[in-house]
Amino acid sequence: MKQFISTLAVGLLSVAAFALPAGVAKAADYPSKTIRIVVPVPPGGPTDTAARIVAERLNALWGQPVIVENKPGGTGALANQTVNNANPDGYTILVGNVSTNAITFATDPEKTKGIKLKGVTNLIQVPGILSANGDLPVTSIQDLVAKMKSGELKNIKYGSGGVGTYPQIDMLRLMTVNGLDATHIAYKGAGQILPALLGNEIQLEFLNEASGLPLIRSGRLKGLATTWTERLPELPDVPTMQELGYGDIGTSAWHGMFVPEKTPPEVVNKLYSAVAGIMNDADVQKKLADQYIKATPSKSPEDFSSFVDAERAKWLKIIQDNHIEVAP
Amino acid sequence: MDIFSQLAHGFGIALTMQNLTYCLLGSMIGTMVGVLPGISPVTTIAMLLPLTFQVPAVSALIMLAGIYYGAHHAGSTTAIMLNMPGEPSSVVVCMDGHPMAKQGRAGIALCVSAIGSFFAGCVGIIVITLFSPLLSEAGLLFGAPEYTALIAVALMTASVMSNGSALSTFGMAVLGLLIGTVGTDVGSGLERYTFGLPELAEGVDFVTVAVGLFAFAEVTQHIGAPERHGALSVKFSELFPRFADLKQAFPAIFRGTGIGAALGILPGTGPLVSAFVAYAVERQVAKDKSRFGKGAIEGVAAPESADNAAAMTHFIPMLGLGIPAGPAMAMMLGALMIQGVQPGPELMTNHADLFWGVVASMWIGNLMLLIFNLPMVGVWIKMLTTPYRFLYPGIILFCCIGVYSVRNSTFDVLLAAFFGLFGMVARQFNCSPAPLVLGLVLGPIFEENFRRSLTISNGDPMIFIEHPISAALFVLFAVFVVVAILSGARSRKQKLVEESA
Repeated sequence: MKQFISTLAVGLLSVAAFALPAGVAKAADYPSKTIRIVVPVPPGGPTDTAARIVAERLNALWGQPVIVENKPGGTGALANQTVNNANPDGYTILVGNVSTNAITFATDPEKTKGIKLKGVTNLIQVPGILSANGDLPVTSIQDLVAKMKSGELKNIKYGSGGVGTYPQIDMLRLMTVNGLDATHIAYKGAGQILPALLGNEIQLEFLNEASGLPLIRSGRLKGLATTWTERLPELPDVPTMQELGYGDIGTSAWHGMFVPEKTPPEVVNKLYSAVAGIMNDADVQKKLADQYIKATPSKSPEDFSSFVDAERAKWLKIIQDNHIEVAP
Repeated sequence: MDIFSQLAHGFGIALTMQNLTYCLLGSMIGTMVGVLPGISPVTTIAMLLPLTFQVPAVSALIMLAGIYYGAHHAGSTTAIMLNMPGEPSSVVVCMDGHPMAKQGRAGIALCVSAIGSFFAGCVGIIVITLFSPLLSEAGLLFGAPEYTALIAVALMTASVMSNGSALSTFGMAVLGLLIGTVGTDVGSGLERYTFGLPELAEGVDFVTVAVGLFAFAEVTQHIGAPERHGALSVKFSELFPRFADLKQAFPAIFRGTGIGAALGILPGTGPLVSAFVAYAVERQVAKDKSRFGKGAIEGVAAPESADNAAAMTHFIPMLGLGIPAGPAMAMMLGALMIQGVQPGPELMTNHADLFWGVVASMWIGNLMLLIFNLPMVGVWIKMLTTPYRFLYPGIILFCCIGVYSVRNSTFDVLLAAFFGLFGMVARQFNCSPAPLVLGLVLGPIFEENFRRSLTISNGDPMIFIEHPISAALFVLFAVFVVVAILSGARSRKQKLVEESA
């Protein structure tokens, strides 16, 4: 009770004496109640994993309950809206990813135009591997391109989670720059894509490292290239897409943290330092590395915001240049 | 025998105090989740996942697996007692299980389903133990055309899913198919029938519909009904099955187990589809088909066994190849990865301790479940003596929690309420909800695979005949259609003869 009165007094004083916006008074004692982290995907998978690891650590750090709430729907539309309309007080946080917070902004401007979120920090990146069915008679991308050009390989099919997802866009671009054509087949998630790739229903697919690696190691799949900036320690013989001259084709999906636009900068900064500290923690990095996930916190909230802006511009251009049409 | 020494090694791991405790915990939570209508194992596993980070990988998987098969084991309880499926794949058990309870044979139904579950579980584990690597490969033989054909055959079973008129059965099945089209179409990314609501973009969840049509609609049935002192006012003549009952149930248990074990291996189908198919088969092989829907013991034994056998063999794609066959399996894979265990083809060799420890724990868990469930029969029967006014508000509460927790959506709770209303009206017209559920489950799988097949073949329908498995299944489909038409014609002729006589 005593503490309550003193908190109240301090709050009133700061408002009365300095006539500061209420947000600042709140920022001083942030966090003082349950924090909600909204995730735009179902449980399981890297976005959810990142959110849960952060939630667990924030809870330990701040002593406040941190709840992860999965709100899948409309490629992030539901989660984006939820956080967008929440009180801008730092108690409702979004962990979004390249699909839900950059690509959909390009493919579906109608649904995303009201979404104004402020970036806090990037959390993780998930390297991708261009994987081929183990029986496909190719040894490298160059070999694949040559054999497809000469007609030795015909009817090549690739999978993805649907038109407008980055594995689909990346493969389409890879085929287009080489003047090739392959059939795209849409699947619902890894549970359908992996059997299709293993059963040779499709021959190519950009898989994330965690899904692809064990199958590549066992020889069931072939790793042709990785999307990471340097060679992956687990696959030292597999070149990167950049090395092969494909520039920005191939995505290592990023997953980052957002808050409503009007969240006070003090709260954002406090959240940023806590989360960046968590992502730089050796134990957390080890835990993520075990799942083949890279911890990649941003240098500052501003840094992350400009990164996201650049990503949106990049994907908008890619989608326009490649005439990718996603039905609204 | 190599396998036996490895299994013995597995038992060594599963029988440590810690793992035994986790197995017990998993089976107990699973039983609870199975009994509570609306709360599904998927949600429970999602909620408990963070807690497993602290325990060794083997113990974590032992517990999560226990929740999964435990829920399937116990899901039939409320289906039989209250006509509310405790867990999605028990929808089928409602059809004959609840009529049995109404006749005072609830104890028999519960015992038969416990025994059937145990037997099917054991067979499922034997299959995992002996043939995991082989069968995970076999599952890969099923591509888009094969699934299309398989689901076409399974859709045929809708015709026997109700005792109502052919028109109402057909109508409900088509309605289910239509509801299944709601949501984002995978092929084109187009949103269909979502009315711009992001809540509908992922489609209508199966749990939402099942809770509405079964649990909510069942509760509304009793509004205005005179208050009784128990949900069922019949005398319980017998608690445990007699030899004659078992003699009738056992062939059904065998058939159900076989169907479930086979269909569970495929990543694209699983327990629910197996239960539907097993029920349909039972009805086809029965001499007196008219008993079904009115408390036929085979109608409980077969789908319940199929459900549990499939729940076990559904682990094969995950353990054998690292393929997440369904959301629950995806989360268990996630749990392994967080522990630094790489699932995949090498799991059995690189992590033999884990694989054999979990398989051994399944034996133990399955036995524990039988021990929980058989003596509990008496307790469940007691539950029926609870007055409605105490029982039903509690059930509605749990259903709402369950529906909400599927994707943290209040919209889904309202949707379930809407389906409850619809179910209430449908009952007035004697329309059984089972065909609708079947359509809702199978429709999207069929459409997806059908269109995928045609994309693969560039629009050439011959793909369904060129693939041998799909061709064989379509022949089966054709045979079913012909038989149905012939038997329909015969019964109509018979009716005419009777009428003229």
